[in-house]
Amino acid sequence: MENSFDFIPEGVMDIHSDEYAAKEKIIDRIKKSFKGYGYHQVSTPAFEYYDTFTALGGLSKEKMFKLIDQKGRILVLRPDMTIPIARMAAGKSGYQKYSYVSSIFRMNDKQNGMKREFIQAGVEFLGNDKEDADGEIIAIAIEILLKNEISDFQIDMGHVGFCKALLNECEISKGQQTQIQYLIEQKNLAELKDYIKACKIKNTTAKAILEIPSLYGSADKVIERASSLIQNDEMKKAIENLEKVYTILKDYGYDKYITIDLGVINPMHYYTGIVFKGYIHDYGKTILSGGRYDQLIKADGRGLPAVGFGLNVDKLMEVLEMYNLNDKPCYTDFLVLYKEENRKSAFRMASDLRDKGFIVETDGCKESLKEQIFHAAARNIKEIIEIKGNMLKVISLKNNHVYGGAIDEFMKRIEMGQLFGSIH
Amino acid sequence: MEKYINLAVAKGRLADTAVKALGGMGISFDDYTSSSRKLIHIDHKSGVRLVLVKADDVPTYVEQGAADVGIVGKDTLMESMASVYEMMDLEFGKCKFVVAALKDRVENKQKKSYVATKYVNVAKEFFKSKGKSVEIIKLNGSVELAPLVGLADTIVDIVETGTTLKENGLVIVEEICPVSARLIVNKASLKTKGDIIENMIQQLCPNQKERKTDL
Repeated sequence: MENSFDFIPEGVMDIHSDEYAAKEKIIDRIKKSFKGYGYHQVSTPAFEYYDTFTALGGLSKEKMFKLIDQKGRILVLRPDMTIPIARMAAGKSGYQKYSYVSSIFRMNDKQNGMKREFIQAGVEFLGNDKEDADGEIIAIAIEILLKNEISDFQIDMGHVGFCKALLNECEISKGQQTQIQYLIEQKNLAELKDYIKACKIKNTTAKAILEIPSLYGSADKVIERASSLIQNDEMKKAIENLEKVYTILKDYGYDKYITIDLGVINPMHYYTGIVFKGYIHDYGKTILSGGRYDQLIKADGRGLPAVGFGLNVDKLMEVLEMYNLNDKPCYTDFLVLYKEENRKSAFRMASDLRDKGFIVETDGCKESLKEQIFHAAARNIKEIIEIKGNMLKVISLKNNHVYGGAIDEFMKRIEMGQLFGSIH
Repeated sequence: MEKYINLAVAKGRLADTAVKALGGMGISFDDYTSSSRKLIHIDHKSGVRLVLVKADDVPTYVEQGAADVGIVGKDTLMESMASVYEMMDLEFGKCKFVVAALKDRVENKQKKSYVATKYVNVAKEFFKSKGKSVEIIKLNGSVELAPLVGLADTIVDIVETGTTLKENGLVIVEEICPVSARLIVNKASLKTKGDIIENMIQQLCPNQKERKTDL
């Protein structure tokens, strides 16, 4: 291998300061929403036993980064947050509301530009089996997109129970069921039609199955159409459940963001009820996804009801860049320059300014002032203060104004909110 | 924001057919000719942007959202394993995936056989579903040659009329599945630009009535 020092692997990235600041701002906004709804942040290990993630199903084995420890046990880099939180929460009863913002690692061997490490932010609401919890989770997801000034988006809701219950009506093998689900998921009506014919499914059921790929779009319409296809209690329950969640979202005032797709098959295998995905206009990837998983966590030998979602922060960043909604770059308010004899007063002044909330850098002044100005401009420093005894000289890099005066006087004017040059 | 639909189509015959079909629904690309080297053609009236790419890349463009809709052969789609909606069988470009071998070949069941193909994933999946372990040899063209020169025992390839196979002394051993052009849609696009895409599908559909469900 050539010198690998200069290279980083595919699917991972450095984040420079301006971008990092923007990212942190987004994360702050997200955390605020989580907290506002009473979800408390947790963190889980960056790697855990492979078995933790495979025992419950859900993630494909090829997608996990594996490590071997000294005893030969297989560890994986955190490929998902729901399962670790499920592990943490097991055995406890009552409501538990958790939030997280964590790096997620997923193998991707296709060369298609997908990230292998990304930040996911999400919430999990455990112990509440009411539709209210599903509604709240989706409402938080919507609120986060709105708070990030995204308005042209769609939350596409489905229910894993509907299609499953319909397929239970058919006397077909497991393999056939998987194939049918796969074709439904792809909305591949042409092949589904042929396949179902070959499976010899009774006519009413077959007709209903063929309707599923086109059961998507506006909520009211889809629910109405789906209601006419109900063939058993399970299907009825699924539709009622979906409708209730939708009605709750209406009261949040968020129904205009909701569409329904009943052709969604269990994306992570552990979902048991409603599932949803978030899409933003002109951005071809899923930005967030979630759903209800009532059987993943066991408490007292029974499944603990749970619902949650995760949002891909890196993708949200891409969207904000696309819409040019990203924030201003990093900056520094003052660069205080001193000679050795003025160092003490320079430090005191810098400290006083920082107490007032300014971003202040200090440096000994050996280079020529011209050189300092050159560096300062490149690093987005707004003003340079040169200390000379009790006096100072302020150079505003924004408009090249120069102001001279006593330090005391300067601090007093800052105190009163009067600044020279720029006010930030 | 104005809603544009990006349509990715493979350069060449498929693009010619697609442009003709789109013309029928009032979407016309005035500057499009088969020999044109321009890669993007826009019809402002309907808001459709035609993007000409290599056939193998159509699924990637659509999966990643660089294009909302794509027209691609089932063979390429299967090989790419892209996660997209495969919403329509356009019923042109028909052929089939087959396993072929030399006419007088005697299969040695005790030995792992060598399979030459352009479609590595398709071949792997097929033999996996048959419960057979094979060694795949990836070739980029003229796959029929491989059994003749002893590079492989069988080949997996698409066959339209079978003439090439015949002329090289090969016969079809097994049929894998039929192949034809498909309309694929990005999963997010169907949800955010559903009405336009839905409209396009309705118009493009070869037997429109059949799309609604009857057996």
